[in-house]
Amino acid sequence: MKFKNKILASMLLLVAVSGVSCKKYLDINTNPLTATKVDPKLLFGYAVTAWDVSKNSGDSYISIGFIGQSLSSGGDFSQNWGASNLYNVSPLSIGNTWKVYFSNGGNNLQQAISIAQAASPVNNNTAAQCKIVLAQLMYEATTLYGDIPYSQAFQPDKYPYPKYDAQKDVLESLLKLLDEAIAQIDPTSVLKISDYDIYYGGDMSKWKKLANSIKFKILMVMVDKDPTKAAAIGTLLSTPDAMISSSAETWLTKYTTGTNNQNPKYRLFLGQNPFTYASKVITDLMVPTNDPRLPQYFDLPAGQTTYIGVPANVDADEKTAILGSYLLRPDAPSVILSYQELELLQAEAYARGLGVGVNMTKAEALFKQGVTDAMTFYQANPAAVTAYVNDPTKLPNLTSLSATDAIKQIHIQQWVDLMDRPLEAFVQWKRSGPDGSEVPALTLPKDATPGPLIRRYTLSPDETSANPNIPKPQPTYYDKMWFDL
Amino acid sequence: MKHKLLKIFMVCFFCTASMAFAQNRTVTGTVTAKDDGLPIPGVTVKIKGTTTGAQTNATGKYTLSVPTGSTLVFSFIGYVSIEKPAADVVNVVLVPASNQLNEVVVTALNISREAKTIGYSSSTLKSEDLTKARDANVLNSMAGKVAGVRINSQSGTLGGSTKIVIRGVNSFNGNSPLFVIDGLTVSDNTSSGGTVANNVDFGNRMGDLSSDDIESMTVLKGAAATALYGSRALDGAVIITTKKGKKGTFSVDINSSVRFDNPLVLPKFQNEYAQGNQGVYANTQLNGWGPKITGQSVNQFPNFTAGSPQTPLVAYPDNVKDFFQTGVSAINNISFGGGDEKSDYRVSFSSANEKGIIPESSLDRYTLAVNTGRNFSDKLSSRFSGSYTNIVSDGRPAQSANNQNAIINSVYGLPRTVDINALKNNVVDPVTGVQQFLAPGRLGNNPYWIMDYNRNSNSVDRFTGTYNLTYKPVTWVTLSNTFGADIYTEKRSLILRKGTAGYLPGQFTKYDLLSKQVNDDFLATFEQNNLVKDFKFKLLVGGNINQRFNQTNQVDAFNLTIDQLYTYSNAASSTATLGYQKRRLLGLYGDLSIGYKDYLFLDVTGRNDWTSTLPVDSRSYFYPSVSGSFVFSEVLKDKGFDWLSFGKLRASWASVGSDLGPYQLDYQYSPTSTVFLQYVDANAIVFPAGPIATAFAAPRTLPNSTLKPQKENSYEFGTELKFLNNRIGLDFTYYHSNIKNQLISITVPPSTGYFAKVVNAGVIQNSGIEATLNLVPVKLKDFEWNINVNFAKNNQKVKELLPGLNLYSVASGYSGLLIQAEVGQSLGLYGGQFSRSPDGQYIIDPTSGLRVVTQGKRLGSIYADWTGGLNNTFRYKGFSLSSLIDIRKGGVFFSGTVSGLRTSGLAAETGGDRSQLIVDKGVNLVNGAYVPNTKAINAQNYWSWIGSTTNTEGSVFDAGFIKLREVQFAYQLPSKLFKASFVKGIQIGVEGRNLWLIKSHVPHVDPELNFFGSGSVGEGVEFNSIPSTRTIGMNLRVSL
Repeated sequence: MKFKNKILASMLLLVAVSGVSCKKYLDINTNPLTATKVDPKLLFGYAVTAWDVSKNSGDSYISIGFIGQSLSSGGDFSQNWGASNLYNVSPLSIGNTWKVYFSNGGNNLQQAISIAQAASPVNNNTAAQCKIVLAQLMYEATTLYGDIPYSQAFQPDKYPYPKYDAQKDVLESLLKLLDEAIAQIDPTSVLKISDYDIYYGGDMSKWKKLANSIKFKILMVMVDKDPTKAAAIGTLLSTPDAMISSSAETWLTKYTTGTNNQNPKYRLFLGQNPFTYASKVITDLMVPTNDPRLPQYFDLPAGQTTYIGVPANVDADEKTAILGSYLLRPDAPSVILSYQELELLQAEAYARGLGVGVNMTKAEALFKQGVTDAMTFYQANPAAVTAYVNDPTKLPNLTSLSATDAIKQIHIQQWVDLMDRPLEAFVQWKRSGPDGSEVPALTLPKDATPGPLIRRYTLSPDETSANPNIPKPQPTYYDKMWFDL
Repeated sequence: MKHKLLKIFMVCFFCTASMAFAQNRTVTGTVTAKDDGLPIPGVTVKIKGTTTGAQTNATGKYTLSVPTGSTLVFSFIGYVSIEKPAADVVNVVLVPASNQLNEVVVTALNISREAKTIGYSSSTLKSEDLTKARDANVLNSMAGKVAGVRINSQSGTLGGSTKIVIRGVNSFNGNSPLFVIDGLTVSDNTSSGGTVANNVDFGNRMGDLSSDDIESMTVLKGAAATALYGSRALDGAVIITTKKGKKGTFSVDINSSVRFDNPLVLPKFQNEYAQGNQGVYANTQLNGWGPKITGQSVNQFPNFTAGSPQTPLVAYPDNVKDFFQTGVSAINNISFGGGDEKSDYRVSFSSANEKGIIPESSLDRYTLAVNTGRNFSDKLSSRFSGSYTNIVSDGRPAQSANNQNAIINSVYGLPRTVDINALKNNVVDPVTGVQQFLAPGRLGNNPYWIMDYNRNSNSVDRFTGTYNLTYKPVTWVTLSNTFGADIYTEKRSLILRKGTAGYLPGQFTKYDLLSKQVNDDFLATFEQNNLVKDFKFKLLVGGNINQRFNQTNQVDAFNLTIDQLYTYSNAASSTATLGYQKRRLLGLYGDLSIGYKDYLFLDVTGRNDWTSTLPVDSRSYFYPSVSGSFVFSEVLKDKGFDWLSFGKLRASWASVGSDLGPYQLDYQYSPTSTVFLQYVDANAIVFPAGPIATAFAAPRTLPNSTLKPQKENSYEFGTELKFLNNRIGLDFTYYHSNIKNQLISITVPPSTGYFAKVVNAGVIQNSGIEATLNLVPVKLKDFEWNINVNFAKNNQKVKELLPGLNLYSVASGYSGLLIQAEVGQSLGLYGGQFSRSPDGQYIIDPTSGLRVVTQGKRLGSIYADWTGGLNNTFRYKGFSLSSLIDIRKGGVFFSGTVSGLRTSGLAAETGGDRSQLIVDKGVNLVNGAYVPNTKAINAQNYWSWIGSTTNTEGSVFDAGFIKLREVQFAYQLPSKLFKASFVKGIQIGVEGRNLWLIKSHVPHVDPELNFFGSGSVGEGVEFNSIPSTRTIGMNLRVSL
């Protein structure tokens, strides 16, 4: 018995000891390779990179380029794309793009904002920088998808199934977010993203200008549907220097020739034949006037002297102009909001009298400068640029045109300037006029589903499968969104 | 315990007493085994009708004092019990149990038990089942042999991986049966399939095993069978016992095979049309949509430029076939073994030297295995078993949907006009040193360039070892501890030479993987057969400590300066990524077995696990099991049921759980060097990006700190019957399991900021039947014919997902192809489906003449309706002939290879007279009415659409097949030939594997290929996989 007690006692002791040490033994579930706290700039760095890469990848640049007819696939002549019903947009492209706006891009910015605002002292500038970028992301998302979650987005615990806000509300919220960011900017504070600020190196005055520029652009998208926005446009026009006011201030992501740091478009094709072609829509606009940007935008196949575009999904041939190696060069920057774009928008505001009186002279000056800056940005031959902008047979003088024609000329230049930015070109086309009067006029691509033209991405398949709060009925690819008349 | 002591005292008392009063005698003797003539220690010797008895010692000797006229009963596990009248000396020869009645099965924790006492289904493969027509991957040798075990070789890659599914898939996030070698749980890690863009099959770690070292492999299928393994055996367990040295003289066994491989299925090509578009020749195209080949002179490989010499267009019907070479492999094993009463040992050396069907692919594997036991005394014994394996393989090709470096893309996609010999002889331009691409514009890698320069290789060094120490303080108590470790390092290297199309600057990736698993089991067994009359008790309690650790170091290097120099400093940039995982598990378990009169058996087990990977509050979980068996033939003995040789009913119930991977609970920001870049890479390296030196990202999967373990509730019942003196045997099982609290990453709306969230949700139900029929239709003195038929049918049903969620993706392919779980269905293949009118006709777009497609439709179950195997063995004197036919019925299969061959106009069916337009049979929907389609389209438009990956259905086929899996013919030389020599036996044989795809519904490829790899739940999808091989070989076995 005594022996048994000893055994029992030592067993109990063993259990007790192991009970204590077992707990410790099992407490190893902390990943040594991840962090639970980070500097917000690290999240900002990831978000802006993931976003810009996506915009210049197969999911956005190529897909939207084809459906918006900024680019042509070359049909079955293309080794890369092949003929297809262009209106069957790959659900992967739709899903991946959405994920960037809300998760890879949006959520990391949101996390960075939370960390910056929870810091002590509060890191206001960092929060503002992240909010300004987030506003642009959400602007892109709503102009591509229409109604999107915003007020309930990024709060998984509170809103596991975010509701979709009307596009008008989203855009209004973004204007507020930008105002909030502007108010939050504290130029005297050293607390800000500076080394990781790949855009302005922590120059908060430039961020303020950027915020106003995004506001201006959003207002211009809203104003056709909501004419009351003209007043706010007028306010911004009264102090144009509060917005981006030189090409040097253009908001863009720089790329380099360094390995893995090249423009994603270069990485798609690696300097080989992109088998991606000039759209006939754009060559029809550029070739008759011999636009100096043609050799920048396109490459001529061997032996060709004229730039021949091909309609959407029509088979190209060996004479068709190819998407330019200049645009696909490794260190091509990716433009997010350019000075020339703002100039042309301002020209439009003066030509249309949005928040200001109609002023064709002012419009003409801004238009000519905008086109010059656009051509210069794409490094067109300077002499050819000067000759072009001063030749009214090529670039008409707006004052000599009817208001309608003048506005159309502005829209043409806006669309041509955005050729290398299909996402923005698609928005520009939609806002350029009511259904049937858009600039330029597009026609149904070959073999596309018969019916209306495509006007948007449909909802992300990841949302439709997981979010019961998606709009019902789901928008189809040809449904117009709020701002689209 | 008090009771027991009393009993012993009573026995002793009576013994002493009877010595005084009755006529007693002392019996001595030796018990030996019939099979090897050696003494057997541990045999129970009992006086019939009493509980008095003794056990033989290490030399097989016993001494027992018995009353006159007694009968002695000798029994030992695995041998037929024998009764002898008592005499002064009673020597007994025990005969091994030949039928299942006394068959021994290795069960969980390596506990050997008599088969009849087990209340659940288990299947054992013996060494001869595995070494007959040996496969380099031992798992493949199980194919078609065990009901309810599905084996899928994933690709024809040399040393490629093999997937094993026991009774149906239980989880959405993986399927991984537990593998145990001599008591040590070991890793079956795999390269997990890779991505759509780059998928190299680096094999699975169970393929490291040498089949010559395996004595038996027992498959424990149900939860009750594996309950003692706890959370790790949710998907079943495979218990492997390695060979030991036989007691007796020194023996040497040699097993040597040479085998030859060729592709089992190659596509059928058209040989009439050249490359181009809509009938016009274009050498920039790699397809078959050009003009009819009529010998016209064109610029073609390697002279593309206008002005260079033109050559006539000629079809090369065998250009693909000629790319493949005959694979040759030599598999050799030599083992030395022996032992005496105190010790035994076996040392074995195996080698496999293989050359694959793809040029430049090779694999060399060497294994040294040792198994040695020692009895220090009657009470203390130990055993060590361990092995060291070294594998070096080269030329593992990339498989992928859209990768210019994928060899099958490159070879199958060759225009029909390309001479493979021209490619072979013109890999590199002799003047410029640049690759000669398949088309101008640096398009299309020459397949010989890929295999000459862009070889993926790996090397593995693996050590597994266990040490067992057993102490028996008294005869009825056994204490044993088994400590073991499975440690391996693997180095992988993926190379893309400068000048490779798609990767012109050159790049390489190197992986260093380290995996360590340490496992310790302590077991105490208390066995009492004399406590209560007719009852046998066995109580087992134990504890388990397990730690698994993985570390990976991956370095991607880009932009190489010096050609073919693969060192980091030769690269313009390199990025290193670390991986680290450590998890621990503690378990306590117990098992009480009660047997009544040798025909009624009951087992109750319980195990509690504590895991490091679950939240502290839910890290402890308990699972019980109960199983029982009733051998009714024992009861019916001598009652006129002579035709029934054996009959048993069994039933079991169990509840088991499982944990999840480590580090899934905290909200963590991960450093990252990559972003998603469509058409380049899902993980395209981008950081450091200018001033952004390092980047961190929030998790995409929202962690959940309140997770619970998964829980499986299952029951099964079955019967084993043998009739007519074991000439007919039937084994039947029905099982049913419900796995709830699935730990799954459920897709959440990305607008929450996350892709997914880990939750406990969903119930998967698997139920099914397994049946095995053994027949001996003919049994003569010199001739025997055995038939073994096995059949399994598993019905998987997703019973529940989250409320409101009916569809959940478990794996994704390309262009909308998904493997999804849908409530009320088994896991299935989803994607674009051709729309049909109410009467089932294809709806065709009247303008384009092409079928209308609806996305996101279920295209069928990825699992078979049923599977079966038919095994025939004939023996005549020394000759034996056996064959195995493997059958799968139902399920669907998507072939990306077929899709590619059709869209590119290379498949045979795209040929023929293309001037004939095609009017697809179907209807147009015009103003709400269905009218027959009349729109005629050309072959290119038709096939490009049918084969397009957007139209998943166009490349989906019935996955059923019938395969002649194995044939073996062997001749055992008569032993009298070498009676006088040292040779004990010689057997020669001819063997073949995967000889004939007797029936298949899939054109161009083997329906068994799988792109997702053995680690994924996904299956039934293939994208340019390496073709599986047919193997024919010769075998020589010599015993010395």
